[in-house]
Amino acid sequence: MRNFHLLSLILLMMTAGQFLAFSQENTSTRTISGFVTERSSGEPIFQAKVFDTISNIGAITNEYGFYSLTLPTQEAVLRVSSFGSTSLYQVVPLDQNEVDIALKSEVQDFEEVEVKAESLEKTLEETNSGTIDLQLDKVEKLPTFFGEKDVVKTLQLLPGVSSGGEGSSGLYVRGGGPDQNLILLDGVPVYNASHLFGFFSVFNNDALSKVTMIKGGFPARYGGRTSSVLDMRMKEGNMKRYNVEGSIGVIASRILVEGPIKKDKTAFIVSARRTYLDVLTKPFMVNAREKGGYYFYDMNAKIHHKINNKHHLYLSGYFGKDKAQIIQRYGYTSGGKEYDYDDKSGLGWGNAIVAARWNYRIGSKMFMNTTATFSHYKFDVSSQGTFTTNNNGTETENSYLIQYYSNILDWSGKTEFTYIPNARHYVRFGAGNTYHTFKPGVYTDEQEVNGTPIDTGGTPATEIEYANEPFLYIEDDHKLTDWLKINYGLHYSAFFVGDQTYHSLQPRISGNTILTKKSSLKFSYAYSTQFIHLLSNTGIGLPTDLWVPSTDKVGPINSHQFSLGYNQILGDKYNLVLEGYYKTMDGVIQYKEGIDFIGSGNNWENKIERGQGWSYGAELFVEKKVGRLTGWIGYTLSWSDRLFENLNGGEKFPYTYDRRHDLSIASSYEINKKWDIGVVFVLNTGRAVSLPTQQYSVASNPMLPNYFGMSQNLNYLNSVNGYRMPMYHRLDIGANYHKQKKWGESIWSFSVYNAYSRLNPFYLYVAQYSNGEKKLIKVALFPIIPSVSWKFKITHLNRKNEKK
Amino acid sequence: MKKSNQRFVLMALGCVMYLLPSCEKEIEYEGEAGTSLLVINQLIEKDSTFSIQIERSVFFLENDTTDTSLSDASVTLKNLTNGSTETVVSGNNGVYDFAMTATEGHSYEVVASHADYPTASATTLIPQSIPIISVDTTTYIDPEFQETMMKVKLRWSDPSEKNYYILTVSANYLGGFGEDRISMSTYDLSIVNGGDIDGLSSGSMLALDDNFFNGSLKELQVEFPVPSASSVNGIILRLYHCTENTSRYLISAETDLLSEGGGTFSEPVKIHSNVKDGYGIFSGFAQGAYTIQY
Repeated sequence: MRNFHLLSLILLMMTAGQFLAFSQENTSTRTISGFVTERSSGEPIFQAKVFDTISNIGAITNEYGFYSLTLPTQEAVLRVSSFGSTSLYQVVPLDQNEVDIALKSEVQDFEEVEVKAESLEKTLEETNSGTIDLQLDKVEKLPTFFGEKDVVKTLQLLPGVSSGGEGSSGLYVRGGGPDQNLILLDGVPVYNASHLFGFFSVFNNDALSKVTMIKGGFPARYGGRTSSVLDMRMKEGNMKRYNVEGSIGVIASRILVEGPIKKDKTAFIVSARRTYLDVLTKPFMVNAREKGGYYFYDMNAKIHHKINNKHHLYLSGYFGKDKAQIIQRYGYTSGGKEYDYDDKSGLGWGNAIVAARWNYRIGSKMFMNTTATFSHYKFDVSSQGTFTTNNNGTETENSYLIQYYSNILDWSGKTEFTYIPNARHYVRFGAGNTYHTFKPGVYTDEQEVNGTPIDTGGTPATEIEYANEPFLYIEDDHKLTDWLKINYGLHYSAFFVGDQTYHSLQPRISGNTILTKKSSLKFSYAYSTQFIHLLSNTGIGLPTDLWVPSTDKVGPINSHQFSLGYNQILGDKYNLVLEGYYKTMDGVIQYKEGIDFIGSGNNWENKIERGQGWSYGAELFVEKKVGRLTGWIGYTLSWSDRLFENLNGGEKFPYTYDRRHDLSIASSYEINKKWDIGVVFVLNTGRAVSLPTQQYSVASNPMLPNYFGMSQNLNYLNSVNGYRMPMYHRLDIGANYHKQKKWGESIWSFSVYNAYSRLNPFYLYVAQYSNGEKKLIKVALFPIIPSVSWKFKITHLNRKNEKK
Repeated sequence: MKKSNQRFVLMALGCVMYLLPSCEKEIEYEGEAGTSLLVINQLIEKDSTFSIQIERSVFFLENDTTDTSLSDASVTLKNLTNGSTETVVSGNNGVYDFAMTATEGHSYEVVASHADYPTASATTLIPQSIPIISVDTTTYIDPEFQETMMKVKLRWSDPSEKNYYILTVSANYLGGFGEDRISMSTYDLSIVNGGDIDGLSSGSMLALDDNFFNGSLKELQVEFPVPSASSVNGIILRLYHCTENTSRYLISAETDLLSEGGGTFSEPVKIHSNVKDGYGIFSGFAQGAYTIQY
């Protein structure tokens, strides 16, 4: 603990020291700053490299495309480059210090050796280990599940990241739980990122511009979670021209429209997706006594207004919902009485997120971003109906409404600054607060007989928890020498809930040593605290999982994570990363023995156990980003354990998503301009589950109820999660056919999920047949699933615009 | 929609519907089967004689579990408080009857040995009875189910050390039908089993510990449906004062038996055992009873 505080103090002094140093900086310099955007759309380019070829000083753009480059007072010749764009050179005379640059997207040009090399160099130079920028265009080429492109499913193919199970869109990063990932959409946390009981993520690929995953050692600007950061940015809308994209798939269709409201000033983007299983099944239910249906939809929208070169405003939103319902309507006669039954039961959940953002370029060296956000997640299950009895003309009508819902509502505000005093420092600092309202489980039971309400007795008071979570951080990406770069910082956060207050000072440090021109060594340490928990024992992202706050009885999760990685560029095409990590978690929660998965909000504190967790392992990642053949191979060797005083007899046991071996291969190959194919292969150790080993009779006693008599057998569990499900492996194959049309582009995508129809176990159970024979049964969800989808990109509007 | 298109949609839908249902397949168990060990089972009530059940444990997927009792073991029972010892070498269907009586405040040790299994042993203390001091009752008609419900407040004095209790309610039926258990419910915070929805605990066996009332007078309110007065000769409240082992065993056994039928997604339960080198339970309890006449 003493060392921990010492480290915090050192980091604070180092960061504060930089400010003093900046104030005494040599004044014979000039600072060039501006924005780098994509030429045809006006979209900002994140992590574009702006390099002065005279002084050999460079800078990188932030997520809004802003850069600041402090140089000796002389003319500059900037080379601006970004992966996927054609490099551009620009002479900047002494009297010009504001330079906005528009880069042209390159159309698959395989001879761009320079860009290839820069892309690999950037990976080598990045300070944070375990950081991966997902290439969204590559996601498009990989095979899909039911024709739905899904970034989260692609992320599951990275080393150190695994899924919750067959078809699941859950993320388990380096032995952490699904609640320990900070999933940000335009900087706003998303609580339940799943559609269709976890089989699809809520993120619509078409609307995303940037997906970055940080698996460990995340910088001080991130907080609130202990395992990983998934930072997703929505497109900002095309400032230049209109663009329409869409796709029609087996179960869902989507559309995206973007364009300028006022050219180069205001742009919008709207994307929407909806499933239509409910519509397709409707014709089969015309005469059915029971009718049911399920659908989900999501919608992303954003408006970006450029007030001037210094001020930008953004308003963005995400709205998504899943809804399943069953309607029962029938009547019957019995004992001379007529009965009519009419019931509508439903299950629904969804997120609503709104963010308003103001970007302000304060000066050539400083950039400010102020955000106000609203986030609401709600789950509800309800049953409403009437039961009418007609006894010789005397009618009695019983009506009821039973509803159970939980939700979490956040209001949040933050202001963040980027300060770039010179080429050696990149300082970020900021502060903010989130006001949480938790309704972990609200149960209502209203009943009436012939319109007169009756006392149902069992509706307890609702427990609503309010909490404030302020934070403050400062970090510096400090280039100490040409071969050593360190990112250090402090994140402070607190949690005020009821009469309880928690404080947490979290030091973060990561570094990168360039060993040779083609190799580097990276390290990181992060201490992080998480004040909210997810109550779940299925791990498959069911909407019944409840988000609950830390309370006076249940404290936060604290985690320490160390990692050490080695980067090597092989030839000029491949990047190899070998990384080891060790993570401890204190305060993780798990349901008590025997608790079933239908969670309950009230009194939840009495149903959980608090314990510790450890995870450690090694990851190998070999990636090829450019050329006709692209993709990666990822392998993880890992261990993840849990320890609870009152579970498993107080002995350590494997976490259910402990995967000793996890191999993923994802690759795509462009055969020609019309055809490309993609292959995904996954192989990993089976999930750890609890199965008994021995059984014996229950002891005779007068206390257990009668139906638990001597004939009942008890199952002796040797260890929690002591049994491994069969190995999981799967091959997906896909192909895309591109055709240029007069109006734009048409893409047919063909996919085969689980090509050799491996019945991967979703769960196991013991079946006892009528002859007394007992067998272990595995239940698999998805055999081979072929799918087809059609995507279109309408460029007619573009041409029309261009002509103008 | 054209007929051909309709046909295409229906075919596509048929394919989806065909593929969506889950697939089940028998698989071989590939883990460690565990070792078959001696099982000692005896939950001994104060003032009763020991009848210890000895059996062998079996692999959980074994089909035939009808004859697991062992009648050729050697079972030695020792009163650790006064040193007396008794050995029985032959059991009746695996039940070994002893002359020794479980005396309040005494500790006992059982050692069971068999030629085919490692020797197993366990010890227990016999707790004192805790009488129910008083009981208040009220009745009302449940508006939803139109049945008579009884609210009962019972009180007892909790001794100063850590104590564990189990409460049951039974109706004593007339006509030789005997006792039958009644399920009850409570919002009492001391309940350590069965807590399910919003703090409501319910079941035919409520287990509680004295964390919230150690060494003081405890008042517990429960409610349950009342059988017709014409068919019963009173309702019997039984307060079992248990050892920690008895309580933990019964809670884990109940949880295991309930969750087995409860669903695949229940948290696993590790059955509590105090038997060294074996399975089962050897532990004591004492009861205090109160009959409500109405």
